[in-house]
Amino acid sequence: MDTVIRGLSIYFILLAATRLSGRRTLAQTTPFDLVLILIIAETTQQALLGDDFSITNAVVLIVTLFATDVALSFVKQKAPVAALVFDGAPTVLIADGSIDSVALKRARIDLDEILESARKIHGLERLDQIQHAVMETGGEISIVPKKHPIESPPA
Amino acid sequence: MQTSVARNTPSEPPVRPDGLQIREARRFQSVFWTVERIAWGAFALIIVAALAGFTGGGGPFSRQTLHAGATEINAPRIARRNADDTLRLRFGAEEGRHRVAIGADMLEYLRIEGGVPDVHIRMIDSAGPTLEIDARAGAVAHLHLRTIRAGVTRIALVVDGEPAKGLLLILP
Repeated sequence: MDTVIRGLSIYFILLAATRLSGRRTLAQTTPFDLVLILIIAETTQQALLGDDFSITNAVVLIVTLFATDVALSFVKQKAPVAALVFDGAPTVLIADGSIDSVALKRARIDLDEILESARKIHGLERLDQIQHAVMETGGEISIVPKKHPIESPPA
Repeated sequence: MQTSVARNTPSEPPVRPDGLQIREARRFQSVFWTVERIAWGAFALIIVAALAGFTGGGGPFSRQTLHAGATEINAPRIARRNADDTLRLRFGAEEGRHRVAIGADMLEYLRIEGGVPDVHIRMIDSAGPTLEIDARAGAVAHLHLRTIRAGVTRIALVVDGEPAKGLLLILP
């Protein structure tokens, strides 16, 4: 019983803390993110297992975590509000070429990050070549370039 | 041949005037950003509370001082389950063998794993065990505790016939 309660508690606490901290993404790891992941992994391991390092405890814990994950995916499918709460929603940062500075500020994203994504994905050089920029639910920024990108100004 | 895909069905995200087909939920996002910022405030409060000792594991508010006659007892006020802790007894009375009776209720929540100097259980009855500690006047004895259960319990000690009472919160 203890193991299941521990597993569920840590799962939801970690989920809430990650969502509420507003971390943009754990896929694009900066050095700060890496340190955070390592520390959280070590801390939660202790809290999850306690003093019991038996295989039984590990199996019960693994099954609990997977079952919770599956159950939550069903909940999200049935209730769109739950999906919004757990996963969040995409945020349009640049719409039709115009920058939404309120969204940028509240999502804590700067234009350099948008330009970085534009360069990486589409090889774009400037902001005025971006039609739409969206921060996806996973935290990554997707870019829709303008149909006929404005040529580079002459030097 | 015309495709039969229905536009704007409930499962399909709406198309915005700027042509972007996305389910943005900006209103929810705005509320969530506010909740996020409130949560950051809560994170800060938790850190301050932890530094003050309200989450156990050290800090000024995590311990309490009780008195049983001339004996000063420094005991945990807030502790954590399955964690080690210490109960310190400073004997102010004369040198010799001191008797410390420990309430049985308290032992539902923690166990005594030893002490410095060595403690001897003199007797045990329905009220709990009575320990004997040899100490000089002003000496400090340490009892090593291990919390075993979360909850609130009463610290009930009787040192050389003098009672001392306090509350102990054990966090999960």
